[in-house]
Amino acid sequence: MSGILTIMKKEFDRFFKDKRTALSTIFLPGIILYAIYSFMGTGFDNLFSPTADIPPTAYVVNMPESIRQMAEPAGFIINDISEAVVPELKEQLAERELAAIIMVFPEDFDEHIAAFAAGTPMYPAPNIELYANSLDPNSNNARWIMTSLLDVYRGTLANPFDINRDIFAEADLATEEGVAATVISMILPMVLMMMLVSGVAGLAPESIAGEKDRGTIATLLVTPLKRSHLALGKILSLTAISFLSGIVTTIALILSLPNMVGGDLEMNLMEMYSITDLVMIVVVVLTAIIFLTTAASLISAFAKSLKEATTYIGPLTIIVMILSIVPMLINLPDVPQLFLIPIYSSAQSMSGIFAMEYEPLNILVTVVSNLVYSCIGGFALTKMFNSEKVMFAK
Amino acid sequence: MEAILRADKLEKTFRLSAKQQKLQKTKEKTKIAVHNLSFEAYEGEIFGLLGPNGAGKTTTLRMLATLIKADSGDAFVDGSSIVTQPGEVRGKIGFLTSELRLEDFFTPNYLFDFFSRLHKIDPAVSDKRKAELFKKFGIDEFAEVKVANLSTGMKQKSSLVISLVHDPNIIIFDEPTNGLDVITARVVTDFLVDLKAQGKTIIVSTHIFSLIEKLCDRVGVIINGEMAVCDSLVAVTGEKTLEDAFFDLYESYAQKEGLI
Ligand SMILES: Nc1ncnc2c1ncn2[C@@H]1O[C@H](COP(=O)(O)OP(=O)(O)OP(=O)(O)O)[C@@H](O)[C@H]1O
Ligand SMILES: [Mg+2]
Repeated sequence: MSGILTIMKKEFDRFFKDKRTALSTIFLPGIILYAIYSFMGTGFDNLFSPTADIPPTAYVVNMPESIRQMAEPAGFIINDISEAVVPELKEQLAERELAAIIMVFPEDFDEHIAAFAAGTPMYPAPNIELYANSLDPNSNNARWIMTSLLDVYRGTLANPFDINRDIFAEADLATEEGVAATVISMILPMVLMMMLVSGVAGLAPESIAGEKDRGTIATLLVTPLKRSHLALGKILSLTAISFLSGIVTTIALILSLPNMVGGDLEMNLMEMYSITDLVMIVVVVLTAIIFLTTAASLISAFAKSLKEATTYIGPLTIIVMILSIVPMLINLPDVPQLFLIPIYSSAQSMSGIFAMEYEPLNILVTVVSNLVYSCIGGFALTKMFNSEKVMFAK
Repeated sequence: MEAILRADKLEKTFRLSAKQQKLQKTKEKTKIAVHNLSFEAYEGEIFGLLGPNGAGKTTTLRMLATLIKADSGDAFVDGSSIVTQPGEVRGKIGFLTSELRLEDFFTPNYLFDFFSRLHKIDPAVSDKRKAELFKKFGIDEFAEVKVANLSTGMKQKSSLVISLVHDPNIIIFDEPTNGLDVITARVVTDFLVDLKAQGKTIIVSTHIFSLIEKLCDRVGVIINGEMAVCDSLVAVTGEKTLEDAFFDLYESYAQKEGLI
């Protein structure tokens, strides 16, 4: 035991006494992340939200009075046009010179409605043409409001029952917490994994291949220190440092969240997530780091030099990145077997916990498999420290 | 006298990589570095391993220090086998070669404490020992200077001192004076004599005849991985100088092998 602690203390001293490296390893990823996300958020904001002082606008042909009376109170500016100018306006809309929608109603729209109301509908039903440009936030917004209005109107005609008749505006119950949880669950696992693997990839080669390269590990190998203690001491100290950096990254991500979703998102994580959720996240992240550190340590011990180690670590980083993006891109089934795949399991578990939808068994499989793989890796690392072929390979 | 270290039929063959084959201009896939090597070192003596470059001295000492494993044979260090009890052997010896480096980032003071802890030395004992050794080698002034900024000699002296944090009874030095100026070399050889006076057993390897003549009680001459002769210094040299005795041995070995 004391051997492990002695090695860990030395690794920490090595790391923290070198202030510049320490600060940049622990804080830099978080700071960069905060900057990028805040910037990205502002960018998204401009890209996707309509300009507040431009009211929704529609250019209409043959708009019936009934619909006009719904649209104008909703803030629409209605411009009547003749059918002849529609093609020209459509072109302008395509070029984003027109921040509006274009609607063409059939001339006999009102007759159809009247027949329908009398129980003798005429077929085919009348068709409304609605043109918008989804790339233009104002046009897109106008389209969204107009289709909602038309839906409501259609509902009042058939009327087997009403939905949200008087509370239309307040009916979206998606809470800010819910929105935040979705964004966190989608983005945080991926970003956190990437930041962690890049941190580990920076630390392990230096700590193991570097020592091998410089001949300082041989000095350790002639002391009574057990090889297994050396392996554990290295893995645990690297894990602790990466964990610190992981915490900072997570905090930075959560702080940048309001900027990213582009609103005045007020949320209290401690209210959103229970202590159990947070403990589970910490356990998943910790075991994921232990796994990553062990993998990176094995690669570093195997490499003949520091340079070789950094070369080999590259593919590991890429594999980790791919595996941690998967949960965001595709919806794989929630079967426990899939949670035997390292990295994927950790990213998916984190995503599940943050989204507040998860299978406890899968979290368990993730944590246990991470630990089992790491134990096997730690054992292999001990063997490697014992092997002169590995330690003194030139 | 009692043998405190006994090497018994040590063997070590290295597999040569293609690159090494080219460098050594050989087509052989393997290199027998040490063959059927046996010797004994007695308690309280300085034992010298003498041999030309590539004779297998460093390989032998690395096997004794458990850094590399013997292919066959065994050695017993104060009763502990290098094959079955390497951990105990490591606690009993102090080993120093140029391939053991100190981390540039730390100071001699820090490293002394670190290695003391690895050897589980009581801090009070370790502090006293550190003060003595640092003073003896003039490291005290440089105790807080990072190893990276020490001179070559000071680095070597720090390595030496740190290899002795646990006050071992058996000390194994590979080429103790290599790369040192005459003054520092003198400090080191004087120290070896000093250690012997304290009753320690010392094994040194070198290709320098004068060093053996000055220091050693007994000597083993290694030629091409094999022990050519192993006896007291007087018995090996006889009336001749050590250098002449060595060349006689070398010639008879070469004739036997058909090299000349
Ligand atoms: N790891 C290795 N791989 C291949 N060959 C090796 C290895 N280590 C040593 N050898 C070879 O074994 C032989 C003995 O080497 P060793 O270093 O023991 O010699 P030495 O007596 O210490 O020589 P020197 O006086 O030059 O230090 C040499 O031919 C050397 O090239
Ligand atoms: Mg040598």
